[in-house]
Amino acid sequence: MDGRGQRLLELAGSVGELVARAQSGDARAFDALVGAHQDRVFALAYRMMGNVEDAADIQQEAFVRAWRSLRKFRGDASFATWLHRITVNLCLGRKRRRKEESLEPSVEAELAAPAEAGAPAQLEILERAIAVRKAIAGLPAHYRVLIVLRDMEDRPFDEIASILGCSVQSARTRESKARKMLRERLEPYLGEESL
Amino acid sequence: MNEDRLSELIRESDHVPESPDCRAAVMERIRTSDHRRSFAWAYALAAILAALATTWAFIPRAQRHNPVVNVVKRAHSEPKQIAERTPLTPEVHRKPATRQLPDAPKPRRRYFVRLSPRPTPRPDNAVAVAEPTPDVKKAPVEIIPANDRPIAIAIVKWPSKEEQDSDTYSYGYTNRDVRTGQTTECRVKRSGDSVEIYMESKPEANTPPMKGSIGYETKPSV
Repeated sequence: MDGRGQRLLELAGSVGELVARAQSGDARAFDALVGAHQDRVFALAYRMMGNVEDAADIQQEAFVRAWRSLRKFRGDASFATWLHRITVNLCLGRKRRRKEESLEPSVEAELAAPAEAGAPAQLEILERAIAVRKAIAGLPAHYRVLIVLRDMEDRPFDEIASILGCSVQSARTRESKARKMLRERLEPYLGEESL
Repeated sequence: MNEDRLSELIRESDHVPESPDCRAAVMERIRTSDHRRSFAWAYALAAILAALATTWAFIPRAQRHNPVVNVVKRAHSEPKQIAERTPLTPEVHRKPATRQLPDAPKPRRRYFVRLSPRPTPRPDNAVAVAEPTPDVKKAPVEIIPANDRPIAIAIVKWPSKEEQDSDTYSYGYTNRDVRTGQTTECRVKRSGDSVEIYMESKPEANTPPMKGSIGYETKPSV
């Protein structure tokens, strides 16, 4: 949770209290929850989708669905985990419909924007970053989500398992396979470093 | 080594743009969604009414006031009512009284056999015409033409000697053909050693026309 969300929570109260109020129909409490979690939801959606438009769309859709399903939330997992599960499901569903595995042009444009004014060393870093992003985007969606949750967001495996609705062991196995696939695709860049 | 390098590359490539503030948009969508849900029953009712109005508009005018037309017969939805309406009664009451009639006789069949007309019974010594017998030439025959009408043959069978009681015998008959109306008269007379045969065929006698018929003419009086 970022600083803006933390401040909103301090003003409104604890997450559990806000969830309880939102479940009783308090829209202002839910508004506070949206403000506290929207950055992380957007980041997750962006890492999964690779473009701002889809990420923003999924961000809104995730909160709307959370509001509709809020009465079904029993508190077995944290509200953030439950919300991220909704987000991941939306991302996977949209990826499945589009059948696209490549980076959106907007991502490359966003990555290239700071390099125009940068040094040649930054350009090299940028090229490597684009290559890694493309390699991640080329992974199957059910493998990519593990790279995002584990390597980009540093979530523990039990939380990843809770988000994906699988066992911890299954999450570990899938993450290992995803890294193996990614290693094969990024072999030139790994070799440079190893040399 | 590669695992650490891979993690480093992944973190290095991670770049997330600043998140847009979606609170206003989310709350607006939630409000709209709640508004729609609260009036969902009204929308459903309006849709049903529109469907009914459309259906009513397409029903022909003649069928609108004829409820019989709109009766839907359900073939298998209801049990048969005939078993419920008619209570079970003993067989004796339902069976009508019947008379014990004897077996009707079988209809007789009539066979009609069309037989040829029987020849008129005649005595053995009668004259027969066109009846070939082996003793044709032996019989004493005399042919007498009568009024230019030839007589082909006449067969005469005389009585035997035991039957003869006198020298003079005379036989005769008259035959009338009902189809042609022709009348044939035949007479045979034997006297001593001579035989006299008389045969004559006459066409149908013209009956005088009846008064008032077409053939009846009255001679004008002079």
